[in-house]
Amino acid sequence: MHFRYIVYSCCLLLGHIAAVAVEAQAAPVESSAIIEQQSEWQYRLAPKDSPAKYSAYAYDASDWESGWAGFGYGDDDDKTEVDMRGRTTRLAIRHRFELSDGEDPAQLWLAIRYDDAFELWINGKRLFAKGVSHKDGKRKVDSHEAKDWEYFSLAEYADVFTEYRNCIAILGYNVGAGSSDFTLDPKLILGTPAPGSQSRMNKFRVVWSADPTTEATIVWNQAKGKPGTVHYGTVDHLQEVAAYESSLAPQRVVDQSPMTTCMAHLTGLQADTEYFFCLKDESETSQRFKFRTAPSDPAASFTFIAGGDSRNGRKVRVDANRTVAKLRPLFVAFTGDMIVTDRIDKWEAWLDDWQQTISEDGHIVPLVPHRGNHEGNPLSMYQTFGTPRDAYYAFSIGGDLFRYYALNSEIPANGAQGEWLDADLKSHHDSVTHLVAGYHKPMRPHVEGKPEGSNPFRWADSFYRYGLDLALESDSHVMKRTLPLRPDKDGEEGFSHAADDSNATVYIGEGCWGAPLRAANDGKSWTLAKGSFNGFDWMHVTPESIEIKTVRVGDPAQVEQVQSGAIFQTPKGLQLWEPEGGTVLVVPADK
Amino acid sequence: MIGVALRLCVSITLLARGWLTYRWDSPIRGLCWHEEALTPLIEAWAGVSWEYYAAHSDAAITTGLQLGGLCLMVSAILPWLPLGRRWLTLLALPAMLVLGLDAWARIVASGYQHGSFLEKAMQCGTPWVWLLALHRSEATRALSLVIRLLAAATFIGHGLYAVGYHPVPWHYQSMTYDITGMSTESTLLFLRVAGYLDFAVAVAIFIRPAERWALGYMVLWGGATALARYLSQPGSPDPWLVETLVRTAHWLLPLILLGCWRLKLAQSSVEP
Repeated sequence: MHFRYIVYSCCLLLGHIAAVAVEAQAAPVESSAIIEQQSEWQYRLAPKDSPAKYSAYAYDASDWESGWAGFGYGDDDDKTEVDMRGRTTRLAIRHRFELSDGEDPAQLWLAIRYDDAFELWINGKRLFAKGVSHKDGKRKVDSHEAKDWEYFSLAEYADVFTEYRNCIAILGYNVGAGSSDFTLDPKLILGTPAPGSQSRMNKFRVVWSADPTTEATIVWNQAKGKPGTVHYGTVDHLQEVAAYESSLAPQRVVDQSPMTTCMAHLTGLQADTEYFFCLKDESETSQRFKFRTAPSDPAASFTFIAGGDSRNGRKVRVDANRTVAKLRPLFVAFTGDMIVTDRIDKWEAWLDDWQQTISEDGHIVPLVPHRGNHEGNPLSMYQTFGTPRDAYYAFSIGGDLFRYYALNSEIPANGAQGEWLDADLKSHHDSVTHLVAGYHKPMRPHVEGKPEGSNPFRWADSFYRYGLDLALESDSHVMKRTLPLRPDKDGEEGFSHAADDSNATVYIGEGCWGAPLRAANDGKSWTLAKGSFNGFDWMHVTPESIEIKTVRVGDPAQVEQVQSGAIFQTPKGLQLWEPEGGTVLVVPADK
Repeated sequence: MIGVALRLCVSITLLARGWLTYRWDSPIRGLCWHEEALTPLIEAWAGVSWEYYAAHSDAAITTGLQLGGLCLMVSAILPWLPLGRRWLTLLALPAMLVLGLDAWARIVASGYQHGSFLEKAMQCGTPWVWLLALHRSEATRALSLVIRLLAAATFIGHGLYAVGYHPVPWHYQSMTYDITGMSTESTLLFLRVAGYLDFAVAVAIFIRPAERWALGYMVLWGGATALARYLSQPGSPDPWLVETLVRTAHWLLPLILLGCWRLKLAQSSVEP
């Protein structure tokens, strides 16, 4: 026993010396699970044998107990309650598994919820520890709450794994035997890092808030070091930064600790042109990205996506984001409530998830952001995306083909914003074919229990007076389509159906990009269709009409990529809403 | 008379908040959809994923909120029932819990803004004041202090929003614009001045010579801001008249204090 203790201590010491500081990383793009959540593991309290022994595949653990992950006590969040309070601070769990052909150990990730610390052993080898260290024969355990899943890439330990038979052992530590809770809840998954997640420069987005035919704002997080420089041009030089025609350092750097948000506003771009760019800082070059500027030709056609309310519901919002990458719209109009609470950690998560809209070939879809009621800080859009301070703006695509209004329903709709909107609509309504507005709060929500949107309703007269064709709304976590409408202030429903009225507006929405669903139980006499599911609207703009399909978020892995020659053809695997009135809603041009 | 006013305050607050919760939802829904806090519990208790819960929980939450609203509305009758103090206290507890949960949910939704924590003091505190009066009717000094503290907290909370310490809510601006027609800049300036006055009266109600003027200002301004909810949406009594009524405590509690003050004055002028 004395000898085993010496060996074990040496292993721990070596492990401590060898261990590097390990940080959890952004959630990877998960492809499959090797050990699923809530799988059955063998477990033992404070085993006498060393982890080096019981993490070996051939170890005889017949006297160990079996239970379903997660393990622990207190907090009421454990599948298997373990009677360790007041008895011991250590719980060991082990699981044997096999890797098949095609399952690359370099793509393995440990996903774990833990309270308070753990060591990871694979096939007799200690990979790393989190929250526990040993020094001078003493063990130090840091307190840690098991809130979210934390992800650790095992890529650098790929050599530890064998082709077939492997064994994982996790030794969990509690900060004290009398602690009120303990959690050890792991799973082993295959995945690839979220784009940019491991770089000094990450959380990339391209934002349109000015003329999208000639301008674009590249925004990113500079995680370490001085801000990098954007190198861009119309010719793809991959990561050879010196070869790009132009370069631009960020004109604005916003401290959003722990993020440092950098913004480089590109101007003088050519319309309807693919631009390639990458970023380089003192020590790193990012991957190469590309985006397309908007067309200036009035005969052009393009697609765009609109939706909102991704708040909470990360898996669904990631699935929706990946679907966007497959559909390759010209831009995405995100109509508010990106996050549930306006805190930096929520923004970090949202921006990490937004990276899933970036295709494998580096194609980034430009974002047109709007403010919702959950973006409580009135400067969030300005600081995070570089929009104008009050987060309302407009731009045209295709000359007089299409004009888009990004409005802010979280500030007074009348006053300065209302005056601006009225004046802009007045100056464009005669010439522009399609006038479209997006904003967060619906004028007439399709959910009982939501008061009428008295603030945005103040725009209804202007919409009708100047013939706004389409309004995109969010907030309610349902889907809806209306008939063409005119405001009817004397009527109970605020609007009435305006058949064959070229000034009428069609309203669609209302925000289902991952947020918890509500019952669409407040239909109006002019409601064409309503539903309750996660999704977004996908639109095809041509000189003749705007066609609208509503996408139901499913498994993006099943969705094929849209082909460049058929930008609005429904790809295989994409689920669409099929309401009464037809799958495709058509808003014809009235000019 | 003061006792009747206090009971009326409690009843109106509970009835109005109850109706708003029953018919127009409550930020308590946001607590029920707190992904971080609830995912481990949902997975452990119900064995379902967050995604499943998020897609199927609406009906249950709505029913729960409606029951909470009903509880509040039914409890509005309690101050008028000829029951013993212990029974009244016991029966009032569920309503006070719902009221407290609603206030907490608003604080969480605001991102834990101090103003959100403070501004609900009078609405949430009214039943407590009533219970205090019920159990210790002779403790007028304690009652007076409690009401002052609640009033000060509420006015400071509102003031924090009005001066822009927290983002000025759009409905503050909209109401002001709709009623006065002021420009955006003038509205913000007006609100800022009002906010600083809120701070001033929150302090002044504790200072003897100034207290009656401060209380009088609170009665007027509390009443005006409550009424503004309906005046800016005159065609929609539901919910906007109810939003006015739920803020009854903002002017009625200071009025009760003023009434106590005048009563005290009257008594001291009678006594030799």
